[in-house]
Amino acid sequence: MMKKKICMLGAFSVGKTSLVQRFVQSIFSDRYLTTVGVKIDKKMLTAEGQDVELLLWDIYGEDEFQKVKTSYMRGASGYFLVVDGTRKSTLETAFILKERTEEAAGRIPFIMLLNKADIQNEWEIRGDAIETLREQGISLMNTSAKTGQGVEEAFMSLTRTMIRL
Amino acid sequence: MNLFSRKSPEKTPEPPRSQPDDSLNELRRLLVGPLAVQLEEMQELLKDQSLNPDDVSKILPEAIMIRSSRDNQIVMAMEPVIEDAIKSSIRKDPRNLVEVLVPVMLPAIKKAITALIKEMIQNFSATLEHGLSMRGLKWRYEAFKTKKPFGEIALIHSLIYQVEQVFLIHKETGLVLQSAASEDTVVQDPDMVSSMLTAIQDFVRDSFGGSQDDSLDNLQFGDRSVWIEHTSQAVLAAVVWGNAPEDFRSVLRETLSTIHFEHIDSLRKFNGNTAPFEITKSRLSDCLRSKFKAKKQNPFIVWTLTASTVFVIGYWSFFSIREYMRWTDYLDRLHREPGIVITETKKSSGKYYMFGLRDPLSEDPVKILGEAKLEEDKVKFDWELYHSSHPVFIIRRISSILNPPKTVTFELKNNILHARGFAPRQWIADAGKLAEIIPGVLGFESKGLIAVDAGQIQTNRKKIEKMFFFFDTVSAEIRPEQSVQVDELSGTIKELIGMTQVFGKDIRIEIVGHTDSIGTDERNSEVSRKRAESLFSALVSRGISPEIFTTRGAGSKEPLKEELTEADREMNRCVSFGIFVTDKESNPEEPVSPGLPPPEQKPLPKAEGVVSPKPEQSKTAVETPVPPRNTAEFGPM
Repeated sequence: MMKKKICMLGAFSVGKTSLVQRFVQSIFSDRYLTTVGVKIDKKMLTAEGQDVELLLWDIYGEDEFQKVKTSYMRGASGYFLVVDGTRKSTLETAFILKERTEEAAGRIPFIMLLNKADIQNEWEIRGDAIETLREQGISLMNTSAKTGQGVEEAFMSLTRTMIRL
Repeated sequence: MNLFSRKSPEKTPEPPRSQPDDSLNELRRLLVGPLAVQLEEMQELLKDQSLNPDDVSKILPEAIMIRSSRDNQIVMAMEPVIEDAIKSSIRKDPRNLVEVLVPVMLPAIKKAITALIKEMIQNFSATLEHGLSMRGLKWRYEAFKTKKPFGEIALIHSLIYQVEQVFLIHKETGLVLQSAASEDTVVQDPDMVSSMLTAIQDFVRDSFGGSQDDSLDNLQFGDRSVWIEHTSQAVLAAVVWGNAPEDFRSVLRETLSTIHFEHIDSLRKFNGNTAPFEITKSRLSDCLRSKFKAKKQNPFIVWTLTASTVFVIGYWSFFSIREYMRWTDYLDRLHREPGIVITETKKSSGKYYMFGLRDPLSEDPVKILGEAKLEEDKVKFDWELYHSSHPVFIIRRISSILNPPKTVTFELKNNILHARGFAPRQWIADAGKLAEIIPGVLGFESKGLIAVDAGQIQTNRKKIEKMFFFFDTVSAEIRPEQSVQVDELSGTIKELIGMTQVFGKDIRIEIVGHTDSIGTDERNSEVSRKRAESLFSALVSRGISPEIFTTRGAGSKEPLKEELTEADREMNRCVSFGIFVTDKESNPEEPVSPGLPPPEQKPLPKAEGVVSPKPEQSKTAVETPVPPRNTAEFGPM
């Protein structure tokens, strides 16, 4: 059995927990997020012909009052940087978190999820900015926790990338 | 060389167009011939590469190893092949796989069964120990209230501590490498629990500003605590219910150290694959320890339980053994009983079942059951009827078929039926014909039979009535020379008895004592009575049933001859006999001679001094006519 730890990172209220809930059935309460700062869920899937057990660390969103604990990122095999397309500032936070993660866990696979794709017409992050991100070699996927768009594909894509390493 | 030969005049002329082609071919052969051959060989080699097992065998193991280290494709490719191979092997001969698996499976099964029995004994012990005490009742109420089994409640209250779960966690990732849990513990997902535990540790460390090397050693929550031990690569966490002794920490530490050094490479290179840590399961299971409170023995309960148990066992044993002994005695009795053959017995649902063969003339097994003190309801019989060849049953069948008179006895010798005694002539003739058709009888021997007819009774009767026994004056003793006469009388009476039995008659013989007329009547009556009793005793002593006799002393009242001379008086000093033959149970008693007209009867005066010698042995004489006795002369008394 292959086990992988992946983290959900992003600014406060970008939709990390909603994305996870789209992907798994939780046994722990969301209260853990506000108390310990993390909630852990599990998902079994098969990728590249292997059974993989994903331990999803849904880490409390960073804001001006609370910083993400980098210790939670240690040992992760990959992570999602979740950005709220309607708030440009969350993209900046994502980059900050990316740097801190690389300090804590090294350069590991990640995918930037541009969330709230169901209201893309309200996005502050425009196409040129997205194109720039792509040019920087960042993997991008549009997701919507509300409709489920791109969620399954995002997890599968990251898992495949982690296994190939 | 060929170029020169082409110019040779001796060469056979060839068509003009072919000569340049041949030269060109020859030139080609000389220039590129060896290369062409090599090329052809290489082409063949390429074509036949997959068909060369030797070459493939050289590279196959290495190829598998290289590919296995890269991805899971080899496993996926081999999986269906191996599955089919195993199925085929099982279909062909399952023993091969069994022989391989037994060394692996047997210890695992043994361990599982041992653990299960241990748990059952623990629950049972707790239930037994606390079932009857006040504390036990309290726990019973708690079990009722919480809807948990009483054994579980008793176990919880009896426990000092129990290690419920143990997790081996990869320190850096927080992923569970292996875990173990006690049988009765409700387990949450080990991976999520351990990850959360790691997160909490990180949270505590970050919150209180600890360094990376600082770690949480213990978490307490209610009755449970989490004991945590660390190395540089792994964490061992144990969830403990109750208060474990401090030395349990050293058990954890030792276990973790052992695992750490045994798997240091796997821990360092851990990439999410937990397979190398499968073998640590047994070490983790060794940490699942528990301890119970010392049992306070209640001597009263223990003794009561012991006594009750002994009493119940004793009571049951006594009745079981008694019934068993009665049953075996009964079987022995039936085995000895002729005409009964037991082929099978069995016991089912507390009842005995008996199968066998039984002659209808044999003893009734149900009746014997009562004698053996066994309840009839407890035994069921299933008999097949048959005819036993036992001599007893042949005789019984003979008696049933031939219906012989009571005077006939049988003896079976070498399957020849020997009959003895008195019997009617017609019966003897019929018996001779019937006997040989009886199973087990090959012949009928009638030499021992005395054929009788009704006329012989009258003859013998008259013969007896003509016999007199004379006595000296005043004497009641039988003269010695009369002994032969007594023997003759005895024989004749026996014959007569036999004959009357043949014809279903009763016989009574009256012995009458007489005196001469000299002397007082009182003395004569006494003397005559004694004379009758003397003959009675003499006949009884010769084997005749006393019951057929009555005695009477007639004194001088019934003289046999008028006393005119001394010879007449001598004649009257005697004992005479009266014979009375009657139909069985005929009433009133009448003298009958079977087949003959009744004898001439005369009314006689009632005799005086008529007594039975022994009331219980002889019938009291009734008033009966005495036939005239005119055959003896009377003499002086």
